[in-house]
Amino acid sequence: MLSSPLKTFAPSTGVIGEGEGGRLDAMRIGYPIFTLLITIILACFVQFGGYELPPTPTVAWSALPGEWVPLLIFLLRTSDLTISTIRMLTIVQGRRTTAWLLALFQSSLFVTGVAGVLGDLDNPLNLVAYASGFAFGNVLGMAIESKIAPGNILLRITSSNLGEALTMQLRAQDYGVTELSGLGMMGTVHVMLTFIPRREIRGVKRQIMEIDPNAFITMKPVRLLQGGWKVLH
Amino acid sequence: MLDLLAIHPAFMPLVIFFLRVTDMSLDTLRVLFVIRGRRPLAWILGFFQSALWVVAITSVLSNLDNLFNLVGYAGGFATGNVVGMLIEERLAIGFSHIRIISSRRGSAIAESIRQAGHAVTEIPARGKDGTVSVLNCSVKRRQVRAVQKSIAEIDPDAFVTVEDIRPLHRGYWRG
Repeated sequence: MLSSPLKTFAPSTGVIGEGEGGRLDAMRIGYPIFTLLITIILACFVQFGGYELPPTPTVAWSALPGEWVPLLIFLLRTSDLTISTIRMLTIVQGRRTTAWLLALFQSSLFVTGVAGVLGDLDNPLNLVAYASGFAFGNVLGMAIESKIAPGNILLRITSSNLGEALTMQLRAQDYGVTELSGLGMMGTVHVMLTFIPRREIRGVKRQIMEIDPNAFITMKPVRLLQGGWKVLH
Repeated sequence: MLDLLAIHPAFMPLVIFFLRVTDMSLDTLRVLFVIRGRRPLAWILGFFQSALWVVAITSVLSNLDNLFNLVGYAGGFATGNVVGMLIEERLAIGFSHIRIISSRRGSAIAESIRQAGHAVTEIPARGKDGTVSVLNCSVKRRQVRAVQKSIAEIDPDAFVTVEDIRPLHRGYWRG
């Protein structure tokens, strides 16, 4: 028996990586060419159109009252590093479009806001604000990324005697579960594989713990190549 | 330091764009190699990336006084990011583990993967509607695409996931 096609992942949700189909193949060269074209067009405007180059908007650090500068440095550095951290995690997951957009945003912010402060770090208070903004942004980026939690994850649940109940509970909520039987120290155990959205890990873990507090659960990021059950909540 | 003043201002955004693309591709590659634990490669890339940064990007930073240069800069940063990811995928260094769950055609898939010269471990399992096969197959990363194609031909409904692995001991790897 096959699972109903209504509930399977559409192939185009293929998140990432080697398995991407034609649609994303077109985008492979899309970004570089798109950006290059814009840059060339701008260059032509300047060369042949006699356009004046508009100045880059930057934060006017010198115009600010001194006591606000450290705070502003902290905020700018925090937002810069938050984006940068999320971008790193996006790169690792292979999500190109998001990485491209975040990078565009981050570097614009860096040039307009953060770069101006680099020459202004002789004041120790500014330096502290800079460093703590850097550190805080790092942590904040990780926190935000785990809150948004894009993508899916593979859970492997090992339960010594409550495998049936766990499987039923998970299937009742439309999670796809594959059961394997294994041998543990005390006899037969159930090993269950289930592929769930990262966002729902907490809820699923709580339910498993309610049924079998002794279940052994591990998770690992995997990339979906094809197929699978889609959870409809 | 590069002397960017000698460049005609119209070409400045382009120069900045290309410098930043090169720099960011190296940076992204480095991050991805760090994650995969490839120390020598990460070292070499880090060396060249920081050298390029000091020589080229610092002089670019002092030339971002107009909006077009900024567009070149930000566009180069973003594009370099993606280019780095594409290069890394094309290089496809390392090993992957493919897990296939098929409800009916498990043995046919295993047969075809074996014909292609890879090793497969078959495990019987239970799904919602009865017995299924779980196939475990470790291949070189650059062979993942070909294996997936052969799986999709035999059973388009199979559930296939792939993950990066580091082989610890032995294994059967097709050359």
